[in-house]
This record gives sequence, C-alpha cells and structure tokens, in this order.
Amino acid sequence: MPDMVSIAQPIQQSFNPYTENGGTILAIAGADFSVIAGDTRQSEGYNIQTRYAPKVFRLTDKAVLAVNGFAADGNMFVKKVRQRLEWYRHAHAKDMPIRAIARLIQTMLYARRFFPYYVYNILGGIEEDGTGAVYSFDPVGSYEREACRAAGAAQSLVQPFLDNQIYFKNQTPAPGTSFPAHLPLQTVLSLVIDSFTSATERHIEVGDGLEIYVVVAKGSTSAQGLQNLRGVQELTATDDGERVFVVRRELKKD
Amino acid sequence: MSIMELNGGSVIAMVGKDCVAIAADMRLGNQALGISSKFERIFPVTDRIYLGLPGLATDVATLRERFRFRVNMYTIKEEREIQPETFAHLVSSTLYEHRFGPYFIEPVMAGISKTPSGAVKPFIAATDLIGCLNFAKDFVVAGTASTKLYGVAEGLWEPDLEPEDLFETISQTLLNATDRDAFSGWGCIVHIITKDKVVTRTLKGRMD
Amino acid sequence: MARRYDSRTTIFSPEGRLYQIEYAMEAISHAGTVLGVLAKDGVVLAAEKKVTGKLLDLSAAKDGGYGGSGEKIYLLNSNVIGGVAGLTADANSLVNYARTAAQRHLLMYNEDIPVELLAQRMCDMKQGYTQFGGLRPFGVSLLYAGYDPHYHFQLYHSDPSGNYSGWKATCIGANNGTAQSLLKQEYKDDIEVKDAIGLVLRTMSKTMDSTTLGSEKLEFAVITLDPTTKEPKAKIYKPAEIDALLQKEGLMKKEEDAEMATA
Repeated sequence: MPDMVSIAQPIQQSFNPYTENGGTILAIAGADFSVIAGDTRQSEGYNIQTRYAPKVFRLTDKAVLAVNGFAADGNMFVKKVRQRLEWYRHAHAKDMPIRAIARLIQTMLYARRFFPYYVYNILGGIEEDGTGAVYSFDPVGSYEREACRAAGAAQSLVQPFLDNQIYFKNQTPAPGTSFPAHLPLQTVLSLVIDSFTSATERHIEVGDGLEIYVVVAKGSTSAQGLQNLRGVQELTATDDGERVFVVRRELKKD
Repeated sequence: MSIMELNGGSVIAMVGKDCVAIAADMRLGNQALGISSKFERIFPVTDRIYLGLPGLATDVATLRERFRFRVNMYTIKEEREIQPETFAHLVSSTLYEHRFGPYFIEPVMAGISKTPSGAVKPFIAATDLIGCLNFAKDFVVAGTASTKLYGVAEGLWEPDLEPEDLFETISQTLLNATDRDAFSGWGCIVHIITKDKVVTRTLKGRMD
Repeated sequence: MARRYDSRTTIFSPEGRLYQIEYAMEAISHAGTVLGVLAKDGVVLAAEKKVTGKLLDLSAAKDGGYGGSGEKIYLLNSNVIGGVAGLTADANSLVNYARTAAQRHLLMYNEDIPVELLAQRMCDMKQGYTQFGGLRPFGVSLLYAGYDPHYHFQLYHSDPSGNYSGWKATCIGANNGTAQSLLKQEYKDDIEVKDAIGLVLRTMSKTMDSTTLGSEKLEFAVITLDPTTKEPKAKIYKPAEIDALLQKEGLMKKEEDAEMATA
C-alpha cells in the first residue's frame, strides 16, 4: 500500500576508543632473579598487524615492565612511566626501587579511573633486599606482589599450568622430601618457553616470536647459566650491580 | 549468561600407549550456587567405550538415555558391540538431527577399538553441540574449564604414556584446570581404559 | 460364498468370520515348529528351521553375536526372547517393532519392558491390521519367553488376530497339535529348567519333520536368572552348543550314511 512507508529505527553511532591487540605476557620470580616474557605478535581480530611488536620494556637496571591489552595505551603508558622514573632520578639521584615503581604505577592507572588505560601490566625485577619480585596490575591499578603471573589472551591456558609447576598445586612431595621454595633459573626459562609454545598451539593470537627478559640480582650466580644459552644479549653495561639480559626465541607463525 | 554455563562441569580425554583416559569433575550447580558434588557425567557405552557429557545437566541425562536406546538397538540387530568410530558417528548424527534446536552438550568419547588384525588402537573424539566431529590424536577437552584444560594439557601431555603415567597426567591436568574455574570442580573422577580392564578412581582435590 | 469376503480384512463374512486372519493362521500351520516350556527357574524355547541346505552361508551365525541363525529365534530385549512361525519377512518386521517398543519403554521408564506389556504392544499393532487400512494381517505367530521382576518367568503366544494368552507350555507352527498333546501329558507344574530342556528336546524330536536332530535343523534358547546379579540372562545357543546339548541328552541321531561308513 502506498501509504505505508518503512521507517528505520534510529541507530546510535559511536567511536570505540579501545581495541584488543592480543598477545600474552608472563612473569616468574626466583630467589635472586626475575623473568618477564611476552610474545611479539600484535593482532586485531583475525589479522596480524605485525609479527614483531615488543610488549616487554626495560625501565631500570632492576625493573622490567610488560604491558598487554590495547597496544596504543600500553606503549603510551610505558613512555609515561619512563618519564616519571627520569624525573625521580633527577630529584633523588638514584633509581626508583621496584616496590615504589609498583605503587607509582597504581597511582598512574587509578588517575585514569574513568577512562582507563586498557592494559594489564606485569612489573618484574629485583627488590631492595635482592629477592626476585613480580607485581601484577589490573587496568585501574589494583596490584599485588606474587611469585608468578600470566596475563593476556592465553592467561586461562598458562596460569593453571604455572600453578601446577611453580606453586606445585595439587601435588604432594615424595615422603621425606619437600618442594623447593624457589626454582633455578634454567628450570624457570624452560617453563616459560613451554608455556608459550603450548599457548601458541592452542590460541590463535599467540605466536611469531618470544622475548624473555631476565633481571638478575647483584652477586647472583644465576647469571653464569645464562651465558651458555643460545642468543643471549646483555642490556646492562657493567658486571657489578643488577644485570638485565634478553633471550629471543621463535614461535610458530600460523 | 550462556546456557552451557548454567550447570558447569568439564570433561577431558587423553591418548596413551595402548590405553585411553577420560576424566571429569563432579560439580552440578545453578550458576554460582553449588547443588551436588556427586554428579556423574561420564557413562560406559560398552565395556571399552566411555562417553563424557559436559553442559546442560538435563540434556546430560536425556542424551545418555537416547544413546542407550540407539546402542541397544545396534547391538541387538548387529549381534556385536558397537565400535568407537561408529559410535562417534552415531553421536554426531544424533546431535545434528537437532541442528536448529540443539542439545546443550559437547560430548567427549574415549575407547579402545580393535583393528582387523586383533591389535589395540586407542581412540578419542569430541563433537561440538551440533555434531561436528574432532578426532584428535593427543587429547580433547570440553566444558566451562575448556581453555584452562587446553593450556595445562598442552604443557603436560606427551605421546606414548603408560597407563599409570597417563593417570597422573590427566589427573593433574583436570585438577589444576578446574581449580581456576569457578563452575568446575567439587570432586574429580578418572577412568583409565586398557584392553583388559577399566580402572576408575576419584581424586582428592579442592572442594571449593 | 466365502470368496466374496476374502478380499479385505476389514470386513466380516456373513457367518461372522474374518477370513484373512484364518488364512494367515493357515499359512503359519505350514511353518517350522516353535515350542516353549515355562519352568519355575526359567523358560525354554526350541524351533525347527525350514531354510536349510549346504549352500546356505551361516558363517556369521557360527562365531558372531549371540548365536541362532536369525530365522526362528530372536533376542527382543535383554529380558525377552521371541520365537516366530510363519512368513519370515513379516516376522522380521514384527521383531524390529518389538525391539524398538522395548527400547521406547526403557527410554521412558528406565526399566526393562514387562513381558506381558511387550506382547500387548505387538498385539495392539497386529489388531490394527485387522480393522483399519485395508492391509493384510501379519502371517506370523510369536512365542514370547521372558522375565520381569513383577511376574518372574512368563511365556506368551500371540497370533495374527492380535490375540495373546499366557502358557505353561505351548507350540506353534507345523505339527503343533501333536506337540501340544505330548506336552500336556508330560508337563509338571514345578518343572525345573534342566528338565524342561530335556522335555523340549524330546518333544521336538518326536514332532519335527526331519529325521535327524542336529544344529542344522534346530534353534534353541533359554532364559534364566543370573544367581549373583539377579538380572535376566537370555541365551540363544550357537550351533556347536546345540550339538553338545543333544549329545548330553542322548538325542543325537546320526545319519544312516555315516553309520554305514564306519561299520
């Protein structure tokens, strides 16, 4: 009938400021070292934007920050944290200790409580007392020090594996023995690599490459084992003091 | 909230050396409220085929009875026990019959089939809720903790595990994965199926 | 006069008879005998096979499944065995119906179908073919030997009219009159399965058409209760087991030729 015309319902249009760039990060604290790793794939939906986009960044000789979620916010957040660390260095003539960096990150994130940085941060490094530390954050600044944490697309795949292998959950030690409180560096590195290869198998947003940062405490013997590893690069200039190393590995590209 | 997550529950099956294992949690809930810690969701179809049914609990019971009907008819007419591969296709076609009004279940099967030469071949399979078959060679997972199960299984599984080692591997996979899932847990049951026997064990785990 | 009313089952003759049903029963009276005897701890079924011969391929029956050649005696459910006499094609259709009816009951009530109920389901269907649709009736009579927890061991007989009745001992097919009178003489109310087996085999040997009593001509089945699980156990004998049984009862008749060969 000519009188009836179809009238469409109004559709509200809007700009979505966030997007998910995939990827996964992981950090494990040892007795006198800390390992912070992340894959290098950056994706959006089914598309791979790049096979090499670093997600793990060195802040100081003692602290490494991994950021995962919305890459634009992640990269900007790292720049802002680095700027605050530089101001601190000028004001106090020393590097910020890692637990202070952790608290700083909380305040920076909560300041944007009503338009958050869409990032899951994991801060790893060496505490003032020389022990390995891992701090994990949510997008608005809730944080906690832990022995290990996985975040990102494959968190649900990796975290339960780590619960079993790092915390020995659901395992009872052989009678007369007990599980070690801390694992040696070589074991931790193997666990990190296995976690990422497993995640790459079963999650499409994980793959291409793996970058592992190792922060070693002053006077630690763990560093010796590292030199024998293939493709290790030292980022710190001197032998005395804390040391930061990078290990890169390939991951499946499919 | 997804219908598949209303009652909770997860199942996993793994292949070993001349053996298979199938395991599941025992929680039945109504969203966040836990109702039963004794809900069985793995059933024997024949001596050597076991079927796990994670998903909506009412469909677990219904499908179990429907498959019993169809397998009974098969056994009586064929005068022999149904083979695992054939049963998997029976599961697939039964689910596809309800393509546009499906059962909210993602079945997982484990069994031992016999080759013509008399050798033993371990078998696992899974389908989605409308019957798409997946014949994996290593492991299959389903349920609310499926992503967690994938992660731990991928890390712990290796080929050619003996029955005792397969038991340890599948148990650790199930326990650690369900501990990270609010809707799965409250008890775990594991069946290890070999050519000669089936050993069933319940695991001691977190009851929270 | 009767011929004008033969063409359809759905009408009576002037004398008040349904000829198609009677003709169906006539067909059955030429079929192989099926004999059933109810004991206090089980039921025994035996049947004479009519489809035999050297060229018949029975390799599947020898090793496979639950035995039987699939001509006379069928497993209907884990608690009921059926014996058929009449048109084999009709019998196959009815057996299939019986099996699905038993599974439908299991699906609905999660219990094995009671024996009388299974007979009723079959008879309800068979009666329909005498009243609606203008289709001919099934040319099959069946014996149902089964167990349920309500009435324990039972034996029923149903015919093309859709009527059924419960029996302590009965016979259908060829020579059923002879067999029935033999059973009437020898049957005792508190007979046990092991004696019932002997009674059945002796009666069969006297009523069967063929001279030899062996596994090529005989199908045999027994339903009992497993002493430990208390579940019904249906056993359809394999050809080798039937021969062994006949040997034990001393009824194994040798071929005349074979005897002459050894002499």
